[in-house]
Amino acid sequence: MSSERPEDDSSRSLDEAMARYADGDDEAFASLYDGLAPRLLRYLQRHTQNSAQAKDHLQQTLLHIHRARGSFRRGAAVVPWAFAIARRLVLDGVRRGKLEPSLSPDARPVEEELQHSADSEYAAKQLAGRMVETLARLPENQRVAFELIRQDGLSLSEAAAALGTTVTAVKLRLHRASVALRAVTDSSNDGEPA
Amino acid sequence: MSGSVQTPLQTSTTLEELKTQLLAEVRRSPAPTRRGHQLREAVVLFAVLAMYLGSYLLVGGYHAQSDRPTSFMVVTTLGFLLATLAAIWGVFGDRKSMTGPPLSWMIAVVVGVPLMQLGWVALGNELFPHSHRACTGRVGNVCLDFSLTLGSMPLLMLAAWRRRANVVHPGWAGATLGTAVGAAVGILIHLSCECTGLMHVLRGHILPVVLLAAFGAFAGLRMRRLSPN
Repeated sequence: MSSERPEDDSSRSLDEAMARYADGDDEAFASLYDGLAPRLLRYLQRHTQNSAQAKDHLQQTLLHIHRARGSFRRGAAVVPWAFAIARRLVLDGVRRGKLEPSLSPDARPVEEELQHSADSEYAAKQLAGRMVETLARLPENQRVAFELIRQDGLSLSEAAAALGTTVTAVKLRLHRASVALRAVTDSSNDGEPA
Repeated sequence: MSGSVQTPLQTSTTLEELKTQLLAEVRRSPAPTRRGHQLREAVVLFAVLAMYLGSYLLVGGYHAQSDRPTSFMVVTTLGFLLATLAAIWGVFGDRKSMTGPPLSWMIAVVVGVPLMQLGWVALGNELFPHSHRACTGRVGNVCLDFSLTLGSMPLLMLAAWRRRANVVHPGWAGATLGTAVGAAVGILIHLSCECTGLMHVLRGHILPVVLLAAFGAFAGLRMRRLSPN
């Protein structure tokens, strides 16, 4: 049951580009940028709620990768490393008081999915709003695991590496987050308030 | 290593403009490749090893004590060596990961290694009762000072070298590094000190490992910052 995801291919080619860059192929940095920047920017914008700050963090993330290129281990994965660096920059920004913690995650991905399946736009918006509220109320470790996997497209092992935990722990957090969100949709189907 | 772009970006900067800026910055401030990094790492590790063994020899080195049989020394030192190897494994973790070992592994090392050392001494006392020296009059201050003297500089050097190596849990990574250095110092202390009384061992041999772990955690957190502003 090995379901190959398009992200896996993309991650592998990024790992190869990073390995070439670590070995001294300077041209590989452009490929790395092309593969990483859009995904990282989405993640950073969601967590900083500030486009300029997100781009600044993106720049810092990629510069850190550049500076640490020599330490890149053979066979390592670059995507979780890049997300871990981006996350560290966001956390440091929050600690230094430059950023508000992102208590209300970006609703768009959830809304987009829901608008296709809901009977009416109004109901979909209400449901999306409740899901966003539920997501924001989840414990931080569950919410971050859910976002990295469902919204940023990381695999379980990539998310585990980015969060510095085990795949089992990430599975558990994702499961708990999914259960909480499913409760919202179930109560919505039953016509009850969440 | 300080060639970061200091000017904040304009909000309207597109990804393509950002790419151009970054590529220009990367060309302006080249970073060492894997080969260069490995060479520097070898120099740092050699310096740390030289400092570790050199300072031990400077303060007298190993004196064979006739009332500690070779079998006792081999078995107990092997235990301390195993604890050190476990701690070093905790520092580097999976050699194919750029984000370090999972947090649970690092906590296991920081908590488990001092307990492992203590347990090993207790086991040694049981297996070799004739080699047991309670040293009730020696509270362990000499061993404590000696351990901290031997361990602090290598730890500082390694913490500086590995700063920002673990961006996920920098504090715990520093604590694991401190535990590894403390455990390595523990081998030398064990070779020098014949006291195996648990109170002496706790204060003189185990407490330095805990203190070096705390120092490592502090250094890890202080040196973690990635952003220049």
